Amino acid sequence: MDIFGKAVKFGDNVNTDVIIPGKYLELIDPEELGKHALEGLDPKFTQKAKDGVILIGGKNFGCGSSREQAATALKSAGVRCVLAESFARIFYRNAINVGLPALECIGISKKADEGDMISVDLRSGTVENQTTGTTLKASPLPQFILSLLEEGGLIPHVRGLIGKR
Amino acid sequence: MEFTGSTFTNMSIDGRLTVCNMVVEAGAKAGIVPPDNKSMAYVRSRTKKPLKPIRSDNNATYEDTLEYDAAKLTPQVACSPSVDNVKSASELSDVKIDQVFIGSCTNGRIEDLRLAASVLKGREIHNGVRMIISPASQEVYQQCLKEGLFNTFMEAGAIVTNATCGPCLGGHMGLLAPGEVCISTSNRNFIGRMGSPQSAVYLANPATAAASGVVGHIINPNDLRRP
Repeated sequence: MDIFGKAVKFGDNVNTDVIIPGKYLELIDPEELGKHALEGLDPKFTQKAKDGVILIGGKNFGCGSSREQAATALKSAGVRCVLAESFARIFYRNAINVGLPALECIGISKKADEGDMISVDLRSGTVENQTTGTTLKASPLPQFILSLLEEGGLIPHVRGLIGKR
Repeated sequence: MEFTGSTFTNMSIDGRLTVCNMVVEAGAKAGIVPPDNKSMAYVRSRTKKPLKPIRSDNNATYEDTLEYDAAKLTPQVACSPSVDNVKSASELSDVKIDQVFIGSCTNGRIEDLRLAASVLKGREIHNGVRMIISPASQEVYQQCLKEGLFNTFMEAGAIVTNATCGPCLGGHMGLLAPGEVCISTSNRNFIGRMGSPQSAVYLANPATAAASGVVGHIINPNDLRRP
């Protein structure tokens, strides 16, 4: 499972209130949520992300409110994968559950700049910055999470299980 | 995160719930106060199911142990825009406020509202400041009615709402305009949390929030003049 995209970069402690502010939580259409992703931090984010990007974060990415719309909004906006120094645990689980790959990748905030072309091999955890030619090792995802992501997240996964019975 | 010591054995369930609510902001999975008679009485009043309290093992290992002398702590405020940007309320008297929000899952229980009422009794909210008070549940709402707390709040000039999350997350009511400042008893103060990304939120306990509403700037409630 290889993922490619240009890097869009943010700092430490990106919280779910800035990823998708409370005023948008009444939206239920993922596409509509995606239009407002991270607009408070970078009004141009959705424009940058629409063709598919790798989101680079610092420490404690996704802290704050447990709203799952944060992960949904990023995914709908065009984020193919989030790489961060560390994640807030609730966001991390939400991301996987909505089918957005999230990998802890120590050193990434120093080794990637905005606009760099990044490739991620989810199976091995190998992260390559093709612009600079550097390679980093992220924590790889276990098999059951990889298959959950392949299916598109927790809901399609459970639908599949129920269907099989 | 586990909390022990005389501060916590003496603390009410309402107070323990406030502390355990906030640990998630520090990245904890759960906040734990070892179960005692108070916690058992609380749980038994809510369920008839048999239950067995679980305590940490005597030989449990902890990543870190921090000790504080709570008697030496003065009211603390988490300054905009992060929950760990903490200063003592006394240092923040130059922070003028436009709005006070008292409520939420963090500080909207009956003890919190009694505390706010004890500060607001016989006082009036500062000119130009709006104060929104939201009980955290229907149960708390009814108890406030019985105790007459709503009269106290309304005589002080506050708005009492239905039980709701409301302003805490900028959901509805009390949305902050650009440049506005709110002191809130809720749990998060990130950029744009309660409205405009150009507004600011300070987090405090109900007494500090209520007292700040009276003087129009952040204040240690112990420094409030007699009404």
